[in-house]
Amino acid sequence: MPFLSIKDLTKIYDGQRVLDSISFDVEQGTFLSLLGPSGCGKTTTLRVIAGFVRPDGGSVNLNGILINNLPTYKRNIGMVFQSYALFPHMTVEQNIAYGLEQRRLPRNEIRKEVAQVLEMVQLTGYEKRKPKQLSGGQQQRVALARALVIKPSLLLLDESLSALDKKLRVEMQVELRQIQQKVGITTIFVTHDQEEALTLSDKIAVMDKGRIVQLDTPVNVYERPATTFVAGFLGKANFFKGSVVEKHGDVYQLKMENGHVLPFESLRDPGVGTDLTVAVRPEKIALSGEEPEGTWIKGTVKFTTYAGDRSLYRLEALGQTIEVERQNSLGISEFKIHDEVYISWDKSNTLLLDR
Amino acid sequence: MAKKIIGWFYSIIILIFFYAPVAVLMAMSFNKSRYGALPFEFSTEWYRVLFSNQKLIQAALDSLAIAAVTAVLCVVLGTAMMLGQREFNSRVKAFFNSLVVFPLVIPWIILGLSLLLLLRALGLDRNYAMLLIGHVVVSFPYAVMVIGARLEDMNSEIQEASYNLGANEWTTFKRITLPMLSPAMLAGGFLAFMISFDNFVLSYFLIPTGKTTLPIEIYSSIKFGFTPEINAISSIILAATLLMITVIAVLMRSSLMRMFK
Amino acid sequence: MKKKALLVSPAMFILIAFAVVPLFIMLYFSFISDGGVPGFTLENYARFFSKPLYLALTWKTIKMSALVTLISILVGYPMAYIIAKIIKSGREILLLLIIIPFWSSQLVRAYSWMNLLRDGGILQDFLAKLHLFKGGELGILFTQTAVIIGLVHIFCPYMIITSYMTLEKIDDSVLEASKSLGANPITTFLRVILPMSKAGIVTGAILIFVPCLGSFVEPRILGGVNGSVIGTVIQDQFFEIYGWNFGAAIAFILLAMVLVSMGVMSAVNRRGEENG
Repeated sequence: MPFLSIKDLTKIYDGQRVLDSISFDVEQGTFLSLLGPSGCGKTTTLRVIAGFVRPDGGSVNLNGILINNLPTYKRNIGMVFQSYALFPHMTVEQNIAYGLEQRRLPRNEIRKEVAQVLEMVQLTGYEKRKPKQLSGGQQQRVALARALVIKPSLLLLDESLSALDKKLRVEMQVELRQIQQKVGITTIFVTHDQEEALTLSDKIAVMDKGRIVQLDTPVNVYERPATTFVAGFLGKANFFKGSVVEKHGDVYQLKMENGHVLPFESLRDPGVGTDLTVAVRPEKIALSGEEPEGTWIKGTVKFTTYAGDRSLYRLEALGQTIEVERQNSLGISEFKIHDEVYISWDKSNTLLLDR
Repeated sequence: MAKKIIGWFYSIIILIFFYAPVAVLMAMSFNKSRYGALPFEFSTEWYRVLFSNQKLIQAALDSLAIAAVTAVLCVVLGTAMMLGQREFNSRVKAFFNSLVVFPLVIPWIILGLSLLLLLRALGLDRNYAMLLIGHVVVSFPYAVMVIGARLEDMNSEIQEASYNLGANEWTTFKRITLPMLSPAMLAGGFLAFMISFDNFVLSYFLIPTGKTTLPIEIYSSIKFGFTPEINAISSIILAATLLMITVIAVLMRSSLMRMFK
Repeated sequence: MKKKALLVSPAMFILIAFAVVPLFIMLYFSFISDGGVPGFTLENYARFFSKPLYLALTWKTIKMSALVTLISILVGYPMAYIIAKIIKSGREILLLLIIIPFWSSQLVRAYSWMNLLRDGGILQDFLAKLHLFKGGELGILFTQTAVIIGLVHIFCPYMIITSYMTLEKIDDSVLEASKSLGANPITTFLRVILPMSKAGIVTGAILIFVPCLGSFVEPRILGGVNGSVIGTVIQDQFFEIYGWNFGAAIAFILLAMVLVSMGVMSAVNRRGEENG
């Protein structure tokens, strides 16, 4: 039986289905990210689990217990808010002790627990400070400590890193993951940042328009996106829309809407006659001056950008723009504007998506 | 730079316009001459006369009591209302808000006499209960504005965090909402207090026969003629106002700015 | 609905029962005769509209209120602009100095002008010393001028505060953008600043015009026998003549004037928003 089980969760605001029958399971100890653009329902899902939003339908089971109708304060779920929501009139110590006081722990035990958790988030010595006397990163740690000290069965993180600047965010990501693994707590993390989701998670649930589009490991979500939306939301991709018209040996011909024909190979048989989108990620494409083996198309370099470790190319081929990313192993871009190049990729990198 | 000089120059002229009459009044309260004649001769004579004027002192005490009760009522009602109205959608909130500001945009003379007519319709004499209600109605918007502004600044995630950590609604109110709101409640209470203490119009219509408040007493003295102890009591009122506004300004500043950077 | 929603009810009850309902009671009494004519009668209204004196006083009250509002705009708006956009350091102390009179006793402030304005008072002495005034009596106190000075003194801070609140919200970069696009200061003011701060002026105007319409203390104290306005007529009906029902009718006419003027001004405000 899964640790957290969500079934057919539905929420309607002003006639709009913010959550459209969402179901998913989370195993104990898993770090799951809910990833999606704003308005996709990820925060609402989190707030339903926390008990701030009453769903219009569906159920939330935690550790085998239906918690739908349990008030928030009886759920024992820890949460780190987007704004941290530290109590401004209380010190760090008082903030962290608050949850323990609600659980009627004896004074000396509270003191011990607070000291322990502060050590874990490396804030020993800051007990008497008020939140406003702390940096953003420190406030974040206090919020995390406050949520963890109550030994919650589940930890919810609502865009918790988004207020930090890039460098600090990366540091906190590592720290957060370490703490989470050490404590072994099941965690649900809401974010719109795909990179963050990819680095932190055991599993990613990609959400769009109130539904979960794909729930899988980071590698699979990135390498094997289920839909065009997922492929486009996680990283960049070149899309070729059309229908498979014929097959020669291992090579399929995709008749595109603009009339051009794309030859491609694939590990999976799309079947002649299907409408689909062929996608390939920019960094999976090889460029060469000479005709390569296997399938290729020809294109013209229209634009190049030097980006330090990589070069970005924009090419024109088959009447559309194709983006390519190459590592700069030689320190310079390989191709210049107006160069005619051969575009190819390994068949394992061909993504076959719905239209 | 020239702009700044003109700006300050203009500001000073305006401030002179605002403060000169009041300053003259305060100075005259220390002038020995009964009719405020010059040259100025320092004397605390009028304060002595004032403090031996039992009727005026009683009126002042009554006004203080009325203002204190009004302030407490306004803060309690206002806080309850602002907390409760968060459960409603924005259209209902707008309706509540228009009701609250209603007494601000209706001349007080109309509110005063309509409450007097209400008493007549109910077959009641003028009484302190109705007077207090009148004071609450006109002071309420000021208290609500301050408390509401603070509550709006308060991120709702703060309360959610409290529930999340295991606190129920009452504990959350007691330990989180109330402490965070208290500076605004105090400031709102002070404002309501001042509106009520200074209120002449509502008291004038609703005061029980034979009773009086400080503004009523001042008004009738002025109409009656020129009495130097009115200068003295006015000066005391002005000084107290100055003190209170400064306190409120400090309260609001610290409550609004300290807590959220 | 949650139980918490019930928290609004005490306040709502008081406001409805003691601010809204009494107006209907006032309306009811305005149709009752003071002279004992039974049943509903239009007598009170007929009396008001048939006497030139009352109509003249109504017109005088409107003129007085409009003048006070206008002067407050002319005096207060520049002040608000200076605080919001010119004086950056020292802004808080200036604001405090404006807010203090705003909260000081209106009665005392009206009274304070008596000391200053009366014949043989401080202002007369002062002007005489400057040789700006020769002999005789100053003759300002107990005139309409004194009433207007007093009302501007009392209500001008409203205009400063409401204008300041809208002016302060205008980002300086918007003004710089206007300048960089080639607009001169006057164009910038007329096309950018003024439209963006119009709401503050209108709010201030309502907060000044409305209480002026209903004022009676200041006209009484500073205007003396020349200070009669609608407010003082109503006051007399309740405290001197005991024509309560006639007073109620006049009060209702006053209320109608208030509502109309508020409607007009918020329409002005709305039109501004649509254009801007």
